Amino acid sequence: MMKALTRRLRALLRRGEMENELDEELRFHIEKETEQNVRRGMTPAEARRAALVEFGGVESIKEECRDVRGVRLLDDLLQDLRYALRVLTKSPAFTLVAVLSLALGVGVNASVFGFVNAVLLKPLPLPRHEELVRIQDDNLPAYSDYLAFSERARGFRGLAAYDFDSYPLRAGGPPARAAVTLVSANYFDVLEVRPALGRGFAAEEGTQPGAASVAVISHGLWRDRFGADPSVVGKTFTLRRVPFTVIGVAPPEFTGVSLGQRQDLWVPFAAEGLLRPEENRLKHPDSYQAHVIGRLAPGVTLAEVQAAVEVVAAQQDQVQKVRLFTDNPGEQPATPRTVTRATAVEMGPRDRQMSWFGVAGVLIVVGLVLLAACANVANLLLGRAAARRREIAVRLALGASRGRIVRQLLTESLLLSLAGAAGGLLLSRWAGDLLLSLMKQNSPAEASSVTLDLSLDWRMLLYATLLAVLTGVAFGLVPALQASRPDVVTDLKAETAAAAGGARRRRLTFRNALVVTQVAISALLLVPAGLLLRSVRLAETSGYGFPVAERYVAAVDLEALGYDDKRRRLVGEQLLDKVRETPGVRSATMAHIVPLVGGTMVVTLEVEGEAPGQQAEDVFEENGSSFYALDQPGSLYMNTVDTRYFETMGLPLVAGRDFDERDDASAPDVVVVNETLARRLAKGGQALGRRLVERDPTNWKPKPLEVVGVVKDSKYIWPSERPRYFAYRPRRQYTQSGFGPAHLIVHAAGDQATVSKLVRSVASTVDPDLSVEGVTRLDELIEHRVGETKLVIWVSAAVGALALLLAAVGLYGVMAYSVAGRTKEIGVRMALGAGRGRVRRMILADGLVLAAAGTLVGLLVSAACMRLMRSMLYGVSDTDPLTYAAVALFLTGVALLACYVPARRATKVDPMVALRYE
Amino acid sequence: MDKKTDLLQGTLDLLVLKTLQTGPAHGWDIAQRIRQVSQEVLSVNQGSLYPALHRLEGQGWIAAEWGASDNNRRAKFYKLTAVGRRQLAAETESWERFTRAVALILQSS
Repeated sequence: MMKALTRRLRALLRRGEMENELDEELRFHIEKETEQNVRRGMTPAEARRAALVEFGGVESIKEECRDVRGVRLLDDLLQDLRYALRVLTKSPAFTLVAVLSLALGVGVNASVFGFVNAVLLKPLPLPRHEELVRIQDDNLPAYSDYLAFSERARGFRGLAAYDFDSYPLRAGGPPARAAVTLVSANYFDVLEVRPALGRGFAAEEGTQPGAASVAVISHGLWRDRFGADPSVVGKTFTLRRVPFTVIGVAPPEFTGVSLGQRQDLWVPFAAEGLLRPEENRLKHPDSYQAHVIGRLAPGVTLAEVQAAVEVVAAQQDQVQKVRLFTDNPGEQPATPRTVTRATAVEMGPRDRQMSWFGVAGVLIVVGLVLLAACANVANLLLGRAAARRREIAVRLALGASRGRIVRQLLTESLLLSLAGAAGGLLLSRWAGDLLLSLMKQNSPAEASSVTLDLSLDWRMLLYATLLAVLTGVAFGLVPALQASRPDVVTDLKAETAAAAGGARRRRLTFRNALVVTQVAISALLLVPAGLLLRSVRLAETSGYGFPVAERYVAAVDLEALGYDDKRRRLVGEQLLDKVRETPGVRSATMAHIVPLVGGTMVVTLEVEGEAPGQQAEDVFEENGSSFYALDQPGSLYMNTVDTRYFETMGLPLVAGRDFDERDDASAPDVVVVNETLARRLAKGGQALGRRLVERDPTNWKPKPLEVVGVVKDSKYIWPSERPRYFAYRPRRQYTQSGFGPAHLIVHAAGDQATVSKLVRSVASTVDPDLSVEGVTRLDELIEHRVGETKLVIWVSAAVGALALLLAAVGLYGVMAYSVAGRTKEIGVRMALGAGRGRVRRMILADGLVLAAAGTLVGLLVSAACMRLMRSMLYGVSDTDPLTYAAVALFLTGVALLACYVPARRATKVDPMVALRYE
Repeated sequence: MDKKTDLLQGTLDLLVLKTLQTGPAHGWDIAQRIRQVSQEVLSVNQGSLYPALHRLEGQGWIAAEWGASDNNRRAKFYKLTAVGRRQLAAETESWERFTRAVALILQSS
């Protein structure tokens, strides 16, 4: 194999030399033969002729020898390439349009792939990352599993574990929540990360809580909280009031092994014994999870460690089953553990699978754009193939085989597609960065510190090359086969209209189909963008149902303080009281959810005295059509709020009363409902006094809630949503744990900076560890939420516009070609008295028929597909006629523009010239 | 001269290998020897010999090197390689089996 290859290479590199040798060898033979013939008595001339006759065709034998040597293919390829380059540079307009089309198509695809690559494929940026593997099950392995693996599973050089948590941090500056990663002591050793300052953890620090009050801090934390102090090692700070000593600073490029997860500092697992003495994984290793990452020992394969892990996992399942059956018989059986190569973004097997589904969906959409681009180039090539029929016929007549011609034409299209792919990669770099920065602008500040690595790597190159080859063959093959059909004779004769008419019409039908497809694809991509746009427009123009001016929102993390429920409640009440007393504050409250900012709480709607399953009534009429008042029948959206919520939010009470201080855990359970729910409950009577039923999530026991107030309807989840059932419950009737940070809502005069300072200073007087984060204007928060959707709109609109541009070019190409082919016919028509207007109308009508067909197909397919988008649309039906009509109108307009130039050219036909044309 | 037999497909390789068993030779020599040894019955189409030689060289059964011919002219000499020798043995055997079989059929009828 190698020998054959070197021979071929030699043959290629030393082509001249080998040619000379071949010449010499054959000449020698003929001379010997001639000599022998002379010896037999022929004259020298006769002898030579006889020798040549005996030998056969010298050139064809040489060709056979070259074939045997295997340089033919390469030789031909070089020749094809040279020829293709010449042909392509000779028609720069064609080349430019084709390459640009493909660059756009490939660019969109490569951009998407760039994100897929960064999220799903890229390895961890760590030394010898190919050795790093994760052990995962459907969720995460138990901490006890990790201990068992690291003790008994063979094949690992080292096995580390980590888990995320967050604790209030005090270290220079105001209190804040720190993203803490709890790790096994060997974490930095297994990952082979050397701290930039200080050291990693020692073994005893990982197991002895007494020794575990040590931390390695991130480069960012070192810079922001310790002023990049070079002698930081040995300094202390507190987490949840527990003092910790800095023993190391991570290198700036190390951000943990779960890209996308903020990590401020690392402490040993044993430190959990100090941070959560009551409950922690050292006490209950079965009930806590851990992320497990390991480094394979040299020469060990993935399959080998998988087998080793399975053995240990089976033993663990046995042990855990016994343990779990004793105290929790309902527990799910353990799921299989899988060992996978560690990628930069950590993702469970199921999430990974779901992501691939999502990716597949997006790839289909952008694949459609590439398809449109291919259709364009195929169209252009078909047009050119028609023009090149004579050139090709000549080559066929001169003895080129059909395969050779097809190869030549395919070389041309491959060259085009490779150039397109190169352009596409450039575009994708630019588009990826743009998209990333837009995403950051539209996401909360915390997430924007996360960066995705979109840089070019071999996977991107491979993907683009693959696309190029695929598209090159896809759009090049049909035109190549058509162009090389060997009906040489007809084509060598001047192509008469009669002879070529049939072929041209056939070709035109194929090209028409391509254009119809392109227009349909643009429609399919523009409709969702239009629907989303409508949804957002409606959101922006519809009122929220409550005023937003002078309203400020801040996240208050009471849980982080580490107090018990009673003390936590007390701190919350103190904070609220003090804020309310502050001059400039009109009103203040706390709530679990802030409307229109994201986050929902949904319970089952149950009305006392009604049998379950009466949800059929939860239907109401709007503009003659029926809708559920709920996103899902039988569900009720709710919020838990503190006193004076309605006053602070500017929501007028219609009937009954607001919650007050007495509505606490010891008082009867009460609820306030909105007008829509009140109408449903009243049924002609009174809503006040009726009862809803709430179920205890642990034992499903019913608990009646008396309706004590009715409040005006407003918007809750999305600005353009339909009226929905909504209920409010007093915060004081719930335990405050497990809800996450609460939101402090303040109605106050003054700008954001003033209010922010005010709230923070109040908070610090209540408790120095109380962290109040991100005091923001309510309208700003709501706009942010709409902004996320806007990004989706602009991206999908851009993709749709791209497809439309490609379709317009395709339509233009077909119409221009058709006009050129019909010059004579048009001439005759004009000679017979057809006016310019009539000719123009004729051509425009032809183009519009194509566009209309494409639009119709696209809209029909859209109508079938858009139900998939229903969950993203608020206030707009997925078959919104206005959007569909607008898309159709827009497409028609663009089609008219694309046909106008060819139509004008048609009117410029001079009958005399046209009739003399052939 | 008109009672020549065309070569069976694939037998040219065998003949070339067999001819080279007696020692290195250049193309014209090989053609001559085949003609003479077969008593002028087998005619090697002289031109078609060369693609065959190049192919056999490519397969590694024969090796080529430039040397001086009878009157000191440069000529390309081919010789059998070790692999070629084994190949010759194998092909000879299968050829003999084939001719025996054909002979048996012809005799039995």
